[in-house]
Amino acid sequence: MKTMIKPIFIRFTVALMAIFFELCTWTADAQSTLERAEAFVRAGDWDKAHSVLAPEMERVPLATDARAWFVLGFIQKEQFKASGGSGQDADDRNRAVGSLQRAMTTGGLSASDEQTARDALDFLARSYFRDAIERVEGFTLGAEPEILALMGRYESILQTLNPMYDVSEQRADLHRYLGQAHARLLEAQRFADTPKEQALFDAAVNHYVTSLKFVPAHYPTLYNLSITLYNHGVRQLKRINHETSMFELMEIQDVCVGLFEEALIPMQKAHEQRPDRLETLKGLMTVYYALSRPDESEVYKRKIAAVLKKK
Amino acid sequence: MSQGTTNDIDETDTRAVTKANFLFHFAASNEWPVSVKEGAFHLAVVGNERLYAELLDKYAMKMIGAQPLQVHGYAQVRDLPLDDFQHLVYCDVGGAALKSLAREFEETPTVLVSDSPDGLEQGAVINFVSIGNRIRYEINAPDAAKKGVLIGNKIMSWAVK
Repeated sequence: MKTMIKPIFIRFTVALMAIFFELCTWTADAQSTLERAEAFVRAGDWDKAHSVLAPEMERVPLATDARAWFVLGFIQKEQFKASGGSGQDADDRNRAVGSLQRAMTTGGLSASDEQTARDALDFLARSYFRDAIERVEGFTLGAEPEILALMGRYESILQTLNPMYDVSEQRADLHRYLGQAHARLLEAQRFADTPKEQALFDAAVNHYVTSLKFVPAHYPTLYNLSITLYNHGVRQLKRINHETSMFELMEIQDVCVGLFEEALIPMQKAHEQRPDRLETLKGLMTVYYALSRPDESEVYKRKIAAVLKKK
Repeated sequence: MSQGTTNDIDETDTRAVTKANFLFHFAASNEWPVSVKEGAFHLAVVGNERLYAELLDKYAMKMIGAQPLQVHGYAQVRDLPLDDFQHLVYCDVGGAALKSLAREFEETPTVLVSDSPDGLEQGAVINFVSIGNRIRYEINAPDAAKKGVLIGNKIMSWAVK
């Protein structure tokens, strides 16, 4: 009996062709998946486009296809817009950022796709910023972690788009806003004489101090910090009544004077920047008065009169 | 979001708040002669409207022993009715006006309180002073004793002089 023995090169060629055909099939499948998704994109059917493309993205070759990630990111961005979602839990937005960032880091995007991806990321970054600011404006106790997380995402996208981007100014703004938000709750008296009052005060001061680390000579931050310190001292004083013992009075006075002395420093720095500004002149007049330094208080009282005379 | 300043400075007269409490303690913690321990306890403020308002707001009608506290306010020394007895008089002005008032109260149990660098020299029994950015007070205890007013231990222990 004669045994047929295939030469080794024939067997290799057959195997190679099999692999080639398999690859072609994969590529064709991938191309067809992407094309089908893009067709849905053109029709504005984001959900169908997503359902076609998303399940295939972790498989070769789409997993390493920058354009596929770009298209997916674009679809997810549109889904986010259509959903009207906001906050940390807007999954479409988080996914869109991830896909677009992957598209850019994978490399190989055309110039126009790259620009569109950057624009889309910029849009998403600004949406995080808007959400953070909205939460600061309607600030409630306990909202801070989410606000910081939203701002963190905003900054991280900005730095993806431009690794040299300096976020100091944004951070200074954010901490100033958070300082103001805490100070507003403090002034609202809702938390008066509760443990939360001290926590609000500490948070307001810490945010202002952090903001000043990023932008040290920021006039409104200096002024607001001073007011927060001073008003907190006055808040303690106002609680003095006929039941306050002499010992308690002395203790309260010590605490208040400490706060007034602290308030004086940022108020003076703010005043140095805008010497004719009435609010800081009034601030210095008031703080010096509270510190039982009538002569210095009088100096600022006279300056107020001089500024008003000029007007 | 606003870029500017937000909260306004609290315009409460902080010194008036502290002084009002001190005055209440001066009223409540000293021992007054029996002859003036009936009826209302009278505390007059001269020349400090905000201190008067603070006292009215927080301390008026509170009991000084068995006497309800009555607070009176006068813009100037000459407005103070000297024929009406006051247990405690706070005078915001110093100098000659303070001296003349002290003279009026010399033979009475009225304790005159001032806020003037030379308040005790001008005849006040208690004078507010500023030490380390804080309000404190000094006392002329012998003068108080001459008036038959015994300065309480608590008050004496916190005095700077």
